[in-house]
Amino acid sequence: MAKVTIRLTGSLEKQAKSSSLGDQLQTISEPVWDAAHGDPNEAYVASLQRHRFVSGGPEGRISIQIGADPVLGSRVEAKRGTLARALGRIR
Amino acid sequence: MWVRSQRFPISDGLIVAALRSGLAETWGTAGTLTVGTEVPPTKTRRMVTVRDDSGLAVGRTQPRRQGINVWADSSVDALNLALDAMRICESALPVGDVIVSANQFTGPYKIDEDVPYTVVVSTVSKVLTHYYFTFIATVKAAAAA
Repeated sequence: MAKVTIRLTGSLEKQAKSSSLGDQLQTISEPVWDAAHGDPNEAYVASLQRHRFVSGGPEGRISIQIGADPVLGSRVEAKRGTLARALGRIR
Repeated sequence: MWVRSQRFPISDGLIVAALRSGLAETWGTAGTLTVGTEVPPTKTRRMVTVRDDSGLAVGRTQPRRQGINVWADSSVDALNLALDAMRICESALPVGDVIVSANQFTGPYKIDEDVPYTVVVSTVSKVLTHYYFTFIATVKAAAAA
């Protein structure tokens, strides 16, 4: 759980890759992003990254991934479950 | 307006109890293995902690992400202890009407700590190896009294 991926599921085909849906995913990811920045480990917060991925083909999908430095991220997640808690609040 | 009258139960105590009884069969207790919701003040050779990271309640159920930390005084024991704990969580849960399922297991993976725990075993100081895994325990609400 050192990183979180938020992606659209279901058979949306081309719609799943549209920029507007990507923007919606970005909005959904905001609480996770904000919560991760609230962690007391400054080095972990400094290493946080958020990326948007779009896969190709008619079944392509768009996803937002939030992650941190692997070593710091796994330490923080094991200690406090920061991303897990943040993800648990998404509706 | 109709309001659902229900209350979600505490679930990590049930997971701790399942791990205590399941792990005692293989690993014994005798002061060497502790299982709880927090790390004991006096560290032991083998430790397991259960943390509830909660989740979004939908209707009468709530999928809660559980974080399980495992330490042991050798890397092989730590991984075996973590894998045994995973097996117990998969097989001993669900419990009654409270935990209805346990799935989406991730890990165990090794945690490289800044300052690892140490214990003294037969006058020799040993560093504890740390593993971590997570899963989702879906709990069911009970009707409020």
